[in-house]
Amino acid sequence: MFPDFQFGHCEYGSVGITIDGSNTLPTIITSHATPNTDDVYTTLGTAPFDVHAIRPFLLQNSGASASNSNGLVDIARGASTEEDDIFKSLKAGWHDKRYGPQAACIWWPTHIKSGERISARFRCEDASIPLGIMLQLRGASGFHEGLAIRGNIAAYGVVRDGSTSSGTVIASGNGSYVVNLIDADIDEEIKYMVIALDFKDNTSQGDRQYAMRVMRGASGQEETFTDNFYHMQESSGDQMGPLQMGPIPVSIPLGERLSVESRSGGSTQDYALIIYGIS
Amino acid sequence: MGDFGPFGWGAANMGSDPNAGWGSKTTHATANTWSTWERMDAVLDNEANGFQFFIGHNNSTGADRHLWIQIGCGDISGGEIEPRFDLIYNFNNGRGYGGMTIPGQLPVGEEIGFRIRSNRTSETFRWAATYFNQGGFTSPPPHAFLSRIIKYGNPTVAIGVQHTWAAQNSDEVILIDADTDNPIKVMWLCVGANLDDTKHDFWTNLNISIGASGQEEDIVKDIFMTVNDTTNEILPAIHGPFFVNVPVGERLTVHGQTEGLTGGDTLANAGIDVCIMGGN
Repeated sequence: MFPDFQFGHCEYGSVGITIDGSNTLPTIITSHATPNTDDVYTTLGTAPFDVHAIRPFLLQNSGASASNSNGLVDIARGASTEEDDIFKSLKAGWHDKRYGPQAACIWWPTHIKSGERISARFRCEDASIPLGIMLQLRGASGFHEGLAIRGNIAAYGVVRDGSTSSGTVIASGNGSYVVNLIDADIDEEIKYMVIALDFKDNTSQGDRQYAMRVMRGASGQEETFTDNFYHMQESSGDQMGPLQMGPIPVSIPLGERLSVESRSGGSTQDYALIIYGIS
Repeated sequence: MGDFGPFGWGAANMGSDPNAGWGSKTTHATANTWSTWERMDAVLDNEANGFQFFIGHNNSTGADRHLWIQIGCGDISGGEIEPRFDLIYNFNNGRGYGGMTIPGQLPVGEEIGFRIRSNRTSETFRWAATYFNQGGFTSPPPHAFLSRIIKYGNPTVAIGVQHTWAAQNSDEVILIDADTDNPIKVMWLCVGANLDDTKHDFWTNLNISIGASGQEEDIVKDIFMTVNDTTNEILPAIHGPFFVNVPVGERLTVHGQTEGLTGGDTLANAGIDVCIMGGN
């Protein structure tokens, strides 16, 4: 949304919801019966106009387990069986029916032609977990033509294998920073960065605050290029927040080594983190 | 800190030291009354063109916490402060909140501070802030930043206009402001549960509209959220930014509908508070 947006009204719409006199419902996607397994894509709808940005809502609600878990959502365009991911590995962890961010304030840039099919799939560390999903759509981009971004979203730090559907586990120092590698060689430049994080597993949490900085450079020679971003956790609901931070304007070239350093003012617990690079 | 190239941006912290924990700020002893101002930064050494404000509370009472944060600049310690940015945060229990980038300008050479207004009396919250500056830009493009964000919707309370639906899946209009007194170029929709009691599972969809009663026209469509029966809150609680063009003197409304998901749902448990953060 900044620095290269201009003011002006944009067109708004959505896919994935049913709104009429009898329904106020998102689309329910259920994760595969085998944990940490990709499923087929579920159709959300067709783009009502040329879409330049999406704002996903991932909402867990009635009928689902209230336990904590981790998952990843892929959003795609294109015909069935020919899906082309426009956003792969959107972090979708939750605690007590809460999916991720309390603040849904990030428009993810993309390009979807009017009339094109939009779909999504959900993989989870637990079996057969239903997730409510819809996408709010924005037409005119609001981005300044001279600085137009390509609309590519790359996810760094994703752990997507037979036992995990989450991000890189981040260790923190008690009173001192600990460096954690996110990606040794990023394959796209980054103009905006979004940090997504959450607990790494379903365990009891204590009350504490964290400070985290993003770094680049070779091992042992990392240098910070942001000051601190903050998040905290509290014990009663085993909840952490904020769970998304951004968009953060940066200028990180292709091939850079990306890491974060994290610290807490007290005894620490690990959390999982993904950095999304927008170019 | 943070400048790293001719086209780079920097990110620096204001008034918070991770070594000593976050800053702390206590709400007024009277509900929905402004606290004193808290200085965030003595003097910015770069113009800030955006910031993130973090706030949190390690508390497990299960109460709704409505927070109206007002960021201002000027002579904070001398009491001559110009309010600049209204931020509306709502959460239940404790936890950290924030993380969204606000494209607001904060000037070089002035003190930056904030005050807080809440439905919770004499409660101490943790806070921290990070701001962005333009690093080494020498010939900036025509960036668009905000100089002011104003809360629209029931200015006497920390969050907004209360509404309880009369029927499920019934489209109902909520008046936010009958006559806006500033233009709005960017807006955020803020919601919160309006009662400190047990909620049920509901889906809710809202649209933002302008125009006379009965002639409302949507300017933002399909803002979706859920009320859930575990944490008794509405999530997400902030939605946006929405790029709009609302002139002075408009009638600003929100309308939409809700649907309960489990047996025994009552619409009283789907009630919301809603307001709009409008920037120009």
